[in-house]
Amino acid sequence: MTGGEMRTIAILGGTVAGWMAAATLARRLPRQHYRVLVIETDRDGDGLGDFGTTLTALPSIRPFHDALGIDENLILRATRGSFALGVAFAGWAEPDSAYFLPFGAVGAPLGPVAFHQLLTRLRQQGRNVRAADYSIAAIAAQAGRFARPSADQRAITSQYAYGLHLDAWGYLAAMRATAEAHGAQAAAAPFRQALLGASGEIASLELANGDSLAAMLFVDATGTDALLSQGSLGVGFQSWRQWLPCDRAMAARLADPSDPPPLGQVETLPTGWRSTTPLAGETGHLLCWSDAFGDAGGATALGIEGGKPPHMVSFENGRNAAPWYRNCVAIGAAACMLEPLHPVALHLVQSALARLVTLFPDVADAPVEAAEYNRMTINETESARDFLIAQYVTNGRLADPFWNEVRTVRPPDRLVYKLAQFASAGRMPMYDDDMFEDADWIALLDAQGLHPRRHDALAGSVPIEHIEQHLGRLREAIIAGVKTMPAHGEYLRRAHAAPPRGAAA
Amino acid sequence: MTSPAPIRSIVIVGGGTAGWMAAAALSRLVRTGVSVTLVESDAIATVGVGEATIPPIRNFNGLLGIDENDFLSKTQGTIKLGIDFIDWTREGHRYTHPFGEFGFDIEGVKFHHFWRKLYAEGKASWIEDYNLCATAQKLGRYTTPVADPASVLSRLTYAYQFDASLYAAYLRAYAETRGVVRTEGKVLDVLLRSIDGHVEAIQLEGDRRIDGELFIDCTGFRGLLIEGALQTGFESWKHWLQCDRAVAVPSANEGTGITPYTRSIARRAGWQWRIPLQHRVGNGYVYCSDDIGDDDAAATLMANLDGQTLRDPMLIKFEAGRRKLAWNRNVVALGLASGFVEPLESTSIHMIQTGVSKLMALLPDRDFSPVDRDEYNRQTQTQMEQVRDFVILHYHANERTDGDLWRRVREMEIPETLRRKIDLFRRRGRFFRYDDELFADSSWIAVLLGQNVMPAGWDPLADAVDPALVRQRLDRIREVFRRAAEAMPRHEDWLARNCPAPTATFTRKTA
Repeated sequence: MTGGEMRTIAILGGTVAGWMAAATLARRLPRQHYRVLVIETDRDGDGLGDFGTTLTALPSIRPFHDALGIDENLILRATRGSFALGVAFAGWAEPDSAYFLPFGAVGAPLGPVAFHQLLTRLRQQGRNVRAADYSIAAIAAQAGRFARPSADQRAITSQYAYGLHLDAWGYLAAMRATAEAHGAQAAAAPFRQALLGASGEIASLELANGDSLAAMLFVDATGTDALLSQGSLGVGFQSWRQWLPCDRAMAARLADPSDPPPLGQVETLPTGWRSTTPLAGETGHLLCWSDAFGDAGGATALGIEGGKPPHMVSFENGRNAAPWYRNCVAIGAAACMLEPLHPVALHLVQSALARLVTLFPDVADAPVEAAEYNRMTINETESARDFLIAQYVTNGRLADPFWNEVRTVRPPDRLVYKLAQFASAGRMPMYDDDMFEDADWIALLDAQGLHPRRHDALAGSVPIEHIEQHLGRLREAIIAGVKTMPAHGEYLRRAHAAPPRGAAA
Repeated sequence: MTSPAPIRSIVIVGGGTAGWMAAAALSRLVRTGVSVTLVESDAIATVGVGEATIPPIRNFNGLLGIDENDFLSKTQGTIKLGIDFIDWTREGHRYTHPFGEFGFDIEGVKFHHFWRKLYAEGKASWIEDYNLCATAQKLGRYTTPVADPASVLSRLTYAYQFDASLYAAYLRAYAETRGVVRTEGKVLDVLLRSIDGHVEAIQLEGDRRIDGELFIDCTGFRGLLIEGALQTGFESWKHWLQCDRAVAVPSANEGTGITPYTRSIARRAGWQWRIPLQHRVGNGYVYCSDDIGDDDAAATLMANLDGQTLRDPMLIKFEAGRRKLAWNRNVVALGLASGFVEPLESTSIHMIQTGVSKLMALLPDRDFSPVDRDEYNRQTQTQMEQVRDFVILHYHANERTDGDLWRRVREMEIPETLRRKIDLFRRRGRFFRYDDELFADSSWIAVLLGQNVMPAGWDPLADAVDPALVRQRLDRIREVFRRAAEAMPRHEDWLARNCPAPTATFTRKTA
């Protein structure tokens, strides 16, 4: 590349996804060669599906923030945020059952034998063991305690991970500030329309002030509208409704003066589910259901009767047929729409951006890079989809038409294979670009009551007493570890009040 | 939940490297009450020639608790830091595929992008100078690596070259002391159970019958159980890997000496290997029988040795491809019985090793659930295809002018998975590994660059780093590697000091 040439990356959508893209690209691309511009539209939401105004981030958000040079305490303050150790699910395995899925691994292996293989061995002996009893994150969440994990790898208090609960608008503002600090800019006027070039690529964006903006690469961060990708370029949409039939959501936020718990909650309803996301001083409530099976109880079920009218969403689960098409890369809900049963939306944006940076093209039309990007992106989004389907298809609500339907549909082939391998001997085959770790899959299926028929050969060689001693010691260490943690509310107040990083402590 | 019934008896049919590697690993189950029997016949020759390996062999030996010096001494073993490819890209060209990585990444960008940029500007030498194994290999030097990542010697990665039949004998002693029972005898018949077609027993000479629940077929190309009895089927890859014969001969250690690397020299109708052991050198010519006759091939080999031959040349016939199911019913095929990719990248022993470890992880119950078998077969197929693609790359990306073979393989359609890798690399040096594949980025990069698949550009992020700093880094890496290699003992001296075989013939006397 020669010295004087300047290339423009135009990001359409002043959304959370759009400003995350701007921050990442402005930080990573050489500033002397690239200009990163964000163009707002008059319909900008969070770009992630607009399921209410709260977001949950998985533990992968930490390296994302670190790479951008963002202090986590500042994010917490800007978003009235709280810490998240995992999600509590009620009514999924059976109508009155509940379980906790921590972010991160459960238990500890015994030498070469995986933890869940030990559980299978014990269960075959008639012992009733719960995996979450051996998760430090689950016990801490139950006790309402929290501290950031210890850096000492030998300590039990280093063996968990955490995510964040965030206010979407606060997070958007923080991302925008970060992007601008790294040199990204907002365009002078909002978007009016896109103009196509002779060979069907996006030639330029026309702004409301009449300016025309040409760019080397366009990023579509306009959420489910997918204004450039599906709108101007006519890229198709592949529906996942056959497996994930929910298509309506209703969201509201309520003040809540009590200390937020370090976990989200998701509870089943006859035709869908509802969730809560705790922030400091308020809680986000979301109701998600399938319209074909009747309404879900509306504002009453949401617990906000009489208040101001809730935010309503109609949606369809599915993905963009070609997230990178010609000179346009769709991210966020423009690339993949997935109901927020698990908080995957932010993670998918992060990893799409990491992939885009790795494959960053030098010419507007880069079919080889686009093909590889799409292959990996589609693998990843479908693996996230399969995780949700796995939870639906193993549900234990036997009395509701909705739940019977999602339980009896045949899952995608890869998921059928995963489920069969796990049911046989607790094996979890993993594929390239799988979004969740094998530990997450194992924890989910185990909690849903899908127990392997047998353990592997290695687990058979360990005496039962050794396993029991191992579990006993683990449990003791976990409880001792949790006792060292402060209450989540107290830890959170300190984090919100902490001086910026770099200042004297 | 009913408790499933574990396997009680395993019968390995065929000795050789595959059989005894399986026996050594499975001997661990003897403690839990499983009987492990190996049936072999001294009357049947094994294909074992001088064998080169790749670094994961050290994990296999490590898991068995094998002492490295003892093992090297008893197998005439030497150290291998990589492979030298002569005349592969075009006549008169050479490059190295070293083990171990190139340089160090800078700000999250892979080293080879910076190298590509500086090389284009004439400010960097060939990429091998930035790899410690390649640098040491060129000087014929080696020393024991250091685990501490702060030490430059942590960058040294190695494998072995040894006599495969001595390795089998070594593992036999290991397995037999741990309770594996060896039975001598020739297999006359394989008896199938009428109810489900599983192998029930094998019939040996002298009216002996060996029953078993799980059978492991290590009978080589013939696949006595997997193909002979179960007729599993074979998927040929001959249209991609056209060589179908090899002629092999050992020669005396003269001339070049005991190099810490394997050499592969392209010839008109295939390629010639040179694997130096302590007492002799293993040589062979792998060729395509459409392009050269057996006598001419043998003559070519004999005319290109650096020492006296020690035996008559041996002819081996093969076909590249894979058994359609490596595990069929209650038979698991290992080694040549499960498929074959020519030994260009020394993967044969590795495929046995991964087969054994997969089998350990997926060991079935007596009910032989198809779920275990499917997963074993899925992984085996993927791994074999990945190795196949890597070997095809060597052939396909050639600019040679002699011989029709080289034109055919250059012009042929290649597997889509490989096509994608080459296209991505050619544009900007991008490389992605699929499904935890065996060969790491650095191996692919070495061979892609070596075979002159030169990226047109580099990652734009490489431009974000100060060019002066990059140049300084590259210069320093090359310098540090060169000095570290120069400080190592000569490979032969290292062998003589640490693990000399009783009959070793070191060409130069230790200083």
